[in-house]
Amino acid sequence: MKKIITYVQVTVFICVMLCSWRLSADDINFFEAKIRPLLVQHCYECHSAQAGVVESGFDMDTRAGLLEGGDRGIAVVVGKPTESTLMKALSYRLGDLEMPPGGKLPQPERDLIADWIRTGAAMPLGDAKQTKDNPRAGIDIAAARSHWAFRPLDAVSTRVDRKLRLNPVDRWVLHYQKKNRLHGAGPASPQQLIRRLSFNLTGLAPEWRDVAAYSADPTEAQYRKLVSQYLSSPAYGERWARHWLDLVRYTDTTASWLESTAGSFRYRDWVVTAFNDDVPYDRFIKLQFAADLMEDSEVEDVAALGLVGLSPTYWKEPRLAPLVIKAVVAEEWEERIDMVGRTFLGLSLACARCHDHKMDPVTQEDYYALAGVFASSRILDIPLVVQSEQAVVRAAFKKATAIRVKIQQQKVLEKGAEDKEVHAKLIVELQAELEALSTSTPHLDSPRVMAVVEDSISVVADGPEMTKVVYTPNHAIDVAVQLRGNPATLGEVIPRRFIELMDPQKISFVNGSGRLELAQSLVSNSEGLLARVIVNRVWRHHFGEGIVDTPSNFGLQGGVPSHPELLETLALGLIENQWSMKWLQRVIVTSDTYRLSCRADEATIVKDPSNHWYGRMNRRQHDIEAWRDSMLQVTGLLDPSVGGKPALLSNVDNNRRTLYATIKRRELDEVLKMFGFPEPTTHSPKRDKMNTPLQQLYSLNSAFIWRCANHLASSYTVKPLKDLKLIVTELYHKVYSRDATSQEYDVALEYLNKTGPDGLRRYIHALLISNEFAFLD
Amino acid sequence: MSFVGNLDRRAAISALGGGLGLLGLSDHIALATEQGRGCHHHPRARRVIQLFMNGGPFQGDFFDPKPALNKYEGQRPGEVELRTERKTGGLLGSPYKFGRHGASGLEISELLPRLSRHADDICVLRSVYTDNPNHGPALLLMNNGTISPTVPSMGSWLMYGLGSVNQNLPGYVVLCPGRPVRFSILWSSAFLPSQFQGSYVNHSTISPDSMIPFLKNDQLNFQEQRDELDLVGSLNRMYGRSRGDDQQLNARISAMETAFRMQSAGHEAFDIRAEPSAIREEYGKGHFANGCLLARRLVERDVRFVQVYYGNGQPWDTHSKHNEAVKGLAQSIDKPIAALLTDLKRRGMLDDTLVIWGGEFGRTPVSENGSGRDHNHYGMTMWLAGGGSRGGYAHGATDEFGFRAVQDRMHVHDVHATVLHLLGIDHERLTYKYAGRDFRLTDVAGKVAKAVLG
Repeated sequence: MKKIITYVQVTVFICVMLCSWRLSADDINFFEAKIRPLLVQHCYECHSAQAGVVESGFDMDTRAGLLEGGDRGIAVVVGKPTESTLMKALSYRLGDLEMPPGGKLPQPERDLIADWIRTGAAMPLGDAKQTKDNPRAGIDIAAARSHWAFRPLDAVSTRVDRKLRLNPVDRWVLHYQKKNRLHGAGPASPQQLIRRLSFNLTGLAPEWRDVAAYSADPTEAQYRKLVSQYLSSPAYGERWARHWLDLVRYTDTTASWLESTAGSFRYRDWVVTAFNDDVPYDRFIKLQFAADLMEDSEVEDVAALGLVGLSPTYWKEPRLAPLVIKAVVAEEWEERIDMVGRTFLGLSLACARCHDHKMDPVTQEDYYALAGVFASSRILDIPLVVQSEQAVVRAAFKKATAIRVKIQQQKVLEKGAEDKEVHAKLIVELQAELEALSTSTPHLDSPRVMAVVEDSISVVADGPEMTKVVYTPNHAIDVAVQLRGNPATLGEVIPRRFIELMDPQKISFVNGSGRLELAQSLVSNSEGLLARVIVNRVWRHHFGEGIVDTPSNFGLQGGVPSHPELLETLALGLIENQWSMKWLQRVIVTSDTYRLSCRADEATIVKDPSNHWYGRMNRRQHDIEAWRDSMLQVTGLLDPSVGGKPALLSNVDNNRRTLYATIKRRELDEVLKMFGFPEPTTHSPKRDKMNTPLQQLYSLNSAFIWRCANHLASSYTVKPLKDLKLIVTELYHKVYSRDATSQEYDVALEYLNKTGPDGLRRYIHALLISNEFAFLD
Repeated sequence: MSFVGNLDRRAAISALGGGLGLLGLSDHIALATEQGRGCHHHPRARRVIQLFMNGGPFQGDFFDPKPALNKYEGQRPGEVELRTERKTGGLLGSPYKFGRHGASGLEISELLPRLSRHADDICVLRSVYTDNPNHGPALLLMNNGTISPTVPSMGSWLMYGLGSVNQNLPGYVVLCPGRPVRFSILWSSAFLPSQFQGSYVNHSTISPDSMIPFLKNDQLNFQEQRDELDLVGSLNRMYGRSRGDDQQLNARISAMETAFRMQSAGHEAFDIRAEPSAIREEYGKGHFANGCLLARRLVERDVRFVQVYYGNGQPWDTHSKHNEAVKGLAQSIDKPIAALLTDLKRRGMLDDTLVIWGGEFGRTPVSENGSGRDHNHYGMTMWLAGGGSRGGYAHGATDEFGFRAVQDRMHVHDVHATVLHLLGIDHERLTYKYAGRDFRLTDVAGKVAKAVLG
């Protein structure tokens, strides 16, 4: 290991050195005998160019390095130990710079170093200090603004050829097909199409009657009627909310050290309602950042703050040094900034924590400007009441909780006690107290949500051995750049603001934490990027692939759009249509491109194997939600109620949509995990396509699928159908949304006749675990 | 471009339906990996068993003798003024004696008499240190390489880098008789493809049916199930016929067939009751013994990475009555680990199976509550055995009291780099592009400790 410089090395080092005439042998001896060993033991692990580690740019190998200091400037003022940053750090007087970080050096050792500085900080000459790496190298923000994703939306390229009356999707898809000498597949069959539409918009299978009606009358009007029907179904919001929740790492349970998180699901429900109500995307964003700060928001909208309110939090151990805790807090900022950057802007802003972004036009100042917003926002469990009542209700709720705990304690004591009356009396008194509190605080039991409030965080020493985290209400703060991401070495304090790329003027946020201004900047300063990113996400959910194949990276290293004009048109259209997501859905699903069959001729497949030009629809495997939900649905078990408390997916009688399964951040349900559901610890841009034998063990053996199969089979024993063929017909309608072929009848009847009365449930089970039920054409 | 991160291989894996731990990986890729062609350099180890003493053992108890503890018992020299999780007092002595063992004369405590016979196989890392004295962050650092829960585990990196060999079993198995205090995040694949996540198996009961979810069909007998699967086969063929040669459809079909076979293969692999009684006696009784034996059965079947957590919660977290507690703990690991090493050796597997022992951090030489020991991230002991590690060697040193690693210090990143090196992987080149940058297990750090390579 090279980290520790050995005495041998030091000796060699001295021998080859040209000793300065100013240094007496005594000085050098003092340094080598008393000071150097301290440096070696306590400092060189992190601050020695010889050992290969120069943290914070502070190299303590040489006198020049010691004098010059690192990121914090001059470290040693010769002759003046008390003015030397080095001594301040060693005596833990700086608060934010305590060295060595593991614990203060004993007084005698610190005295030695102080003496050494006082007497001239003599040290043998070292070799020249290497130039520090320049952390600002290589970013040209102005030039980067011409990157396709960062430009304003291009109205010219979006001009739709109105004469052709083409849907913009078809207009541009055909354009590129023509250019690449490709032609599209034929249209999907009516049955396939309606199944596709229903699954994509609602995450559920279509009712057979709708499929049959459209198959009988496959007109544009009928199709559009179904589009409207699905878009206005509550199941639409449930489906699309889940897509959103992947991005914002939704969880039902957060860290145990927070106050109750029982109301987390209200954020999920808020998102469902927002999709169903077609809340404009710009407002959808603003509410999630700052519903509490907006004048035109409802009390219930505060649930939207779960975007930040349900962020991961990390444990801050009071026994550890403030610096260690500051590093933990810094991790939390990074997580939030990462979520914001990737979810809304398709930018990995978090890369700029330690240095300016190496690939994208994001500076370290940008990062800390945003960090200030989160440093000024505190996650809190709050009641859904008007803001003026909030403090009162919160205080009363705390009191009520304490009383309830006391009542419980008394009840336990009462059981074992001889003087039961004493406890009984106490309980009565406590209950009266609780009642009084509830009378005086009418909204005591209002629903509660995980939200954020305008309190800023600071980490301070609490006596010599403890550290505390202090929140200051209604007090926004700016934070300093942490050089190399190290909270021990601070740079300039950066006012809260948006990223320079999108706000060249770098206008500071002045309104509280700046959450509302951040949201406003997202929708106004970076309107085009915001629209492009969300359009691409919606597109991906319909076609399986994005116009840009890196849905959360639109930066310089991200993918380039396959159909740039189409992306521009849809993005611009979204904004022109007041950010209506349902408008966007409608444009996409009413295009001919969307309605193509998955089957293409050999020549097309050879020419465009990855279907880059959308000459056909991509066949896709259902995610766990669509697969499980439709299994419950077609077998008649689905509980369609919308919203409310989550329940464990593993509960044997859980018949609700998978959206309502309890999501535990630290402990994701094993079945969800097995099927590629994302860990809710961080933003998830897309689900993994995974296909494993363990999944198929689930198919073969899980009690859940057998329960579904048995349930549907039992409906036929109650009302026996003599004609097995009729049962098969009905099963194909229900399960696959289509008619069975004659060969399929043969296979079914052969199996059913062979297996006898128990065969039906097994046959249904086979239908449910088949490929056709797992894939969408 | 990283060696295994290349698109062709990933595409191939995905097309072939790589399983949890690359179950279902095609023969030729598995073979390529087996021959070391997927590696950066010749691998010394092909599989890993990590014995995880969750809670954090004290370094001075087993492989890093500290006579000064008894000599200065009760005192508080300057070296121990280090901040840990809780308030600590004076030095706490240890009643256990050390002896020199094997040809190498490696020092091992009398607490581990059986394991001492393997002294010449063991490579003690006396100078490991980590970043945070809380269980959660320390578990994360040891497993995932950062203190925040957002990156893949070492096992997932190995799966991603090396792939899996056995088609009928998961390639990365985490055994715990219960649950460690941080859960699935410790074997998460995070941003790596999900099939690289670890498969958690609670082996507190030894029946494979209750260990592995969905392994057993309680609805149909074997023939009935085979008939149903044949029916599914016909349905899939009819569906697939008009859909060309769609790889996704084929992959799901073969995964289902593999699953069918796994019902027996998995049952067989996870059933330690199938072991001869002499072997079971050799390992001894108890959850940890069962875990060690199960680990051997799994690596024998080419499971790539098996982690054995010592127990439910954090049994090694001895905040009080440390010296009493450690006696029982030592007894419960001595026989099983010795048996595991013997067994691997007997089967000629110790040469290319790396065994890793350690916790998430060490403990303080000073006392907590008079008789306990607090968490200590400044210094801890781990050891390696087999898999190309240097047996009969003690690497690095802690200070006189064992508080802080002082010589040849090895950060957890360095341990990771070294483990990867033994597996034929250059930790700086096993990367995955995600969120705008190349990630790796060792972040921007990590040095291979060359001295511990045998």
